[in-house]
Amino acid sequence: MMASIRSYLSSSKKLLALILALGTTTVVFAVGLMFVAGYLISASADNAFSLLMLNIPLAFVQIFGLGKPIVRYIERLKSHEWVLRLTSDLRYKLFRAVQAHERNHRRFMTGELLGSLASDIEHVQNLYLRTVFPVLIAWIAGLLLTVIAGVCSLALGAFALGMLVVLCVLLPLLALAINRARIEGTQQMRANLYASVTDLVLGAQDIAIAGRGSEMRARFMDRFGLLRSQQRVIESRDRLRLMLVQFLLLISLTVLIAWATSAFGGGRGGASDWIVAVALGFFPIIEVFAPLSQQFEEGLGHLDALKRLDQRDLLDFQEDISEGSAAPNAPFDVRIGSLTFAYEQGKPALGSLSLTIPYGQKVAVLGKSGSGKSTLARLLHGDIDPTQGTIEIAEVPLSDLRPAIWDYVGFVAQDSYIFAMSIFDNLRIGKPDLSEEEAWHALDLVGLEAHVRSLPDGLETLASEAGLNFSGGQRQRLVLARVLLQDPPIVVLDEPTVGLDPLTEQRVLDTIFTLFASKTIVMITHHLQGIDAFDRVLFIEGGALEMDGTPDMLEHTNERYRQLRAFDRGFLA
Amino acid sequence: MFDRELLNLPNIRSTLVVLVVWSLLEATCIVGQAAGLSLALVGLWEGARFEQVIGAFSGFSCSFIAVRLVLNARERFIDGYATRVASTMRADLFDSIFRTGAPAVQAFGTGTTATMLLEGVDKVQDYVKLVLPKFVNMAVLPVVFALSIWIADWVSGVVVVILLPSMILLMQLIGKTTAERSRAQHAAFKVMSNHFVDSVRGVSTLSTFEVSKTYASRVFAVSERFREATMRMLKTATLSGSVLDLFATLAIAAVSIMLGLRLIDGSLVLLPALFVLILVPEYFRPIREFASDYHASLDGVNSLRTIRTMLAATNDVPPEVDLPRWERTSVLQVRHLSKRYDGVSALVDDSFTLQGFECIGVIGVSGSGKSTLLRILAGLEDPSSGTFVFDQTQTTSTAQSHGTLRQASWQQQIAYIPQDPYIFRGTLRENLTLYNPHASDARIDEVIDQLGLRALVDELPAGLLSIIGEGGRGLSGGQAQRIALARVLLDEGRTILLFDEPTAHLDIEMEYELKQIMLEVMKDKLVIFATHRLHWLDSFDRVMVLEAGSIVEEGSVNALFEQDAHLTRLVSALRGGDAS
Repeated sequence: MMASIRSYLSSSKKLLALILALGTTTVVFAVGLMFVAGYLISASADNAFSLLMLNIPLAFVQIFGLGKPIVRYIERLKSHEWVLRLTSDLRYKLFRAVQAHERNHRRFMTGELLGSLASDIEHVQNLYLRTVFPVLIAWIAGLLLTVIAGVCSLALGAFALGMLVVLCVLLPLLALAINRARIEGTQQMRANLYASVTDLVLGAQDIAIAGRGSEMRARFMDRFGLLRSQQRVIESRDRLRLMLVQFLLLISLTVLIAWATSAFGGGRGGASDWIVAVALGFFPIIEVFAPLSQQFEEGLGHLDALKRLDQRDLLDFQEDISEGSAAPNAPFDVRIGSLTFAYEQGKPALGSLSLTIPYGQKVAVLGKSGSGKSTLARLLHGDIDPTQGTIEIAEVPLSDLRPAIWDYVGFVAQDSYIFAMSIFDNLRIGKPDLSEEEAWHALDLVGLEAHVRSLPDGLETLASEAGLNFSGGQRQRLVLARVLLQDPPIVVLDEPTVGLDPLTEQRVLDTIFTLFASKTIVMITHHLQGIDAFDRVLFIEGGALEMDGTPDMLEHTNERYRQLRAFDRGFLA
Repeated sequence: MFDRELLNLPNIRSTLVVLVVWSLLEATCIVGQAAGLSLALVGLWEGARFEQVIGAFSGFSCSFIAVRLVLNARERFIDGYATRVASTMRADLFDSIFRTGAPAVQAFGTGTTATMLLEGVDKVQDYVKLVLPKFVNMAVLPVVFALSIWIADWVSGVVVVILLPSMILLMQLIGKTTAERSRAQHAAFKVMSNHFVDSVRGVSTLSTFEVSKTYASRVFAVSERFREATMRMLKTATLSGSVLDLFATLAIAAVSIMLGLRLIDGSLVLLPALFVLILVPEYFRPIREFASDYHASLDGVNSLRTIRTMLAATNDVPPEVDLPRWERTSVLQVRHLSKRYDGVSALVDDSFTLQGFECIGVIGVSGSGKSTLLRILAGLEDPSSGTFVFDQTQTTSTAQSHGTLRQASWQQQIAYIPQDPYIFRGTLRENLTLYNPHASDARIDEVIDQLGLRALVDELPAGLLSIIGEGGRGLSGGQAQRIALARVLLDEGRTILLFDEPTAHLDIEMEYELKQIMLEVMKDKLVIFATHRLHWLDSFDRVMVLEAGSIVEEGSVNALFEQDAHLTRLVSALRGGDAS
């Protein structure tokens, strides 16, 4: 059906067939129960009947009565299992795809987009459980009953087929055709309204300060009212459709009874028992077919989610890339030659940058936001590839190092992620074969040991979603511990202290210099706190190198640096 | 799940009465349907031709169609009621969200507030619309059907009457064990889905460690583990539904066998037997339908409760006072101000005075209480204790004293600018004129130039009418600050500026540019400015140094440096301990 689930569908054919068979059996049993029960009592009312002859219908009543709920129970379990397996499969693919996407397109996806991808998967679950399975089962059971009707009488079979097509195909499709635009419009309207209201609540305090609360309230209550009136139109059409279905069902039952009377009627009891059986057997069918159109419409919304998953081209991705096997030897000098980089559309973020960073040097990279300093950081740790020019570590190009790049370059981002796993698992990302002892040692070095020991679960404490359990300083320390365990000779840090207050910032900087004393440090920064501890200051502007020198030298020779320095230190510098 | 909470809904009693009437109508139609059909079928069974039973069959047909008419009419009725309930609730919530000081957001956070206003109210509406009629059906239909069956054949009547309570008993037994499990399952589901979103969001971090290939398998493994856990859970969770199913089908089987035996020995005739057999499935239908909506009803009741708590908690509006306009001669004395959160003190007994258009710096490390102090002065939070005394010496001789600044007449005069000012989804023009929607185009143009926003306006595709904010074009931190400042300039009534660390996250050159602009805006205003960036110090007339919620020092910067105490120590610490 859809690219994203095709492979799963073909690998799970057997289970799928079992689910459909079980579902159909449920319908057949339900019909059978009422059919046999009807026959049983009318046959019993024939005075000619003996207790002995009732044995067969009695047995059937018991089989159907017990069997239907049991089969239904198994069917529910199996269909959930099928859907959950599908979900696992989709999650795996999606995760791999996001990774590939970020690398291939040289940009990160927003959290919002990722969140919606994840929720689309939930929609796919509902699509199958609430729409695809019930509708398929209704069709199969409907066809089966039509065949039975056809065996009894060709005319009846033809009628049943006609009714089946009307009830199961024409009516749902018609309803869909009429309502589709409006349903989609309403969904869109709802999504927009809800996004605006959420945004409004985020700024509630400012709205209140602006004194515009009652104006906003009136405006949005109007929009809620409009949405509701749209939904009401759809609902009243739904009611009309249900009325139509009820009519069609009545006609079917009338035809069925009329046929049964002509086939079996005419005498008291005997063959006439079948009239009662056929009439009663019809009622469970109503329960299967009446909600069909509704299920169709509900499926529409979920189907869009599946389409979105497909449209994003996410699930057909290319596994990258050439893998090098070069192993550079110490000293790990970094040489950057005529480095140019441009994002997909737009002017170059870096233009022809050349410089050498000897092993062990501590380099601060300064520049305005948008100057290209973060791009440099991402290029240095191989997250993106240069458009032109080279980056070499100990004379080996970075591209030849992949995937071992991460053995040589460690990276601490502004918002390095703390996963919703235990502290130990978060650290193990840096070193897969981490021992508990090493973990404590690393925590000790970044100054977190005492804090973690004070937690009731110690290393096993869950670093809750996005690491909210930790303060800003503690988060960065945890990330530093991760890089420390990774133990690369070169550490690139992209504004690791943004958002921290100066005291905490200074402490984190002190930790960084102690931890990585023997390593190369390249730190992107937006102000001058702790700048004197660096060996070298680079100033990037418009993608080019504007200043380069020791802090001391710049202080003496560069007027602009001196001004900024004075400004940063503030009053009484 | 019928909850007492429901009885607090407006007009609920009369609504329930109407629903009972509709249920009685539905029941009558179904009984009529059963009677008509059994009469017709017995006629046919006895050898009549179809035309001969047309009377009885028409009775059946009319009832069959009437059932749908009744259901449709009831749906329209309850839909109207549910919509009214939802819209009243939403209007009340809007009120408590946008009332002075945004009390709902303050007490419950933006996340919960937005969720309740949108999905929460939807759930209540669904609950009223779907669950309420089913609940009433469950109370009415079985009674009518049991009575009808009893009249037709009292032995069958006894059987079904005995079956129902034992079924409910069994349901409760299973319900108790499954409720626990389904809660646990819900929690497991949350963990699972968080984990997935979490891993996907952190994918860029993972790829810097090149563990993501193994991590993908890990995502798969967790998902699989969740699947197995869910399956175990479902095995019992779906049991209660299946037991209901079992009861209903077994009852049909048992009743038909019992009827059969009594028909054979001649103690019963076909007509009542058929009537009973047709009604038995109907007898169990209401409880099965109700059970299938168990989760919707649980969600609905929980949302209803949360919304009620929310509305009740935000109901205490301080009596409205007309605070005087802030002028050059105004004086506000703040006395014994304290604020505690859950027993933890954020501000401890602080007293100070604000006068005219002075510029006051609030200095302290993170956690010293700067932000709390500013939020209280902005009227965004109430202090735990303390008073505000206005002394408008020029106009009145009497002092007014208040326990909170959560007053519309105060908030009309202030602007509160945090590190990341709120840029809402809308046009740039709408964002600029948040405080004063009636600002003239000429004035807007002037302010754009004054604040250095011209480049942004030129760069945007539709200029002032371009959509910015979430979903629109993202802005840099410096641009957001400029927009916040423009809002102040566009509303001349705003003479009190509260800044909470507005420049710390900007790169140093941006900060330098913005500082020059801010100094212009701050002229002839009362400014209270919380920061730990030291270059601001020489812009302040006066500085308050906060430590652990207490004002430990207050005075001009020079005077405080001469004292060589708290401020001196703080400054040397903030500079990285390299000088003292």
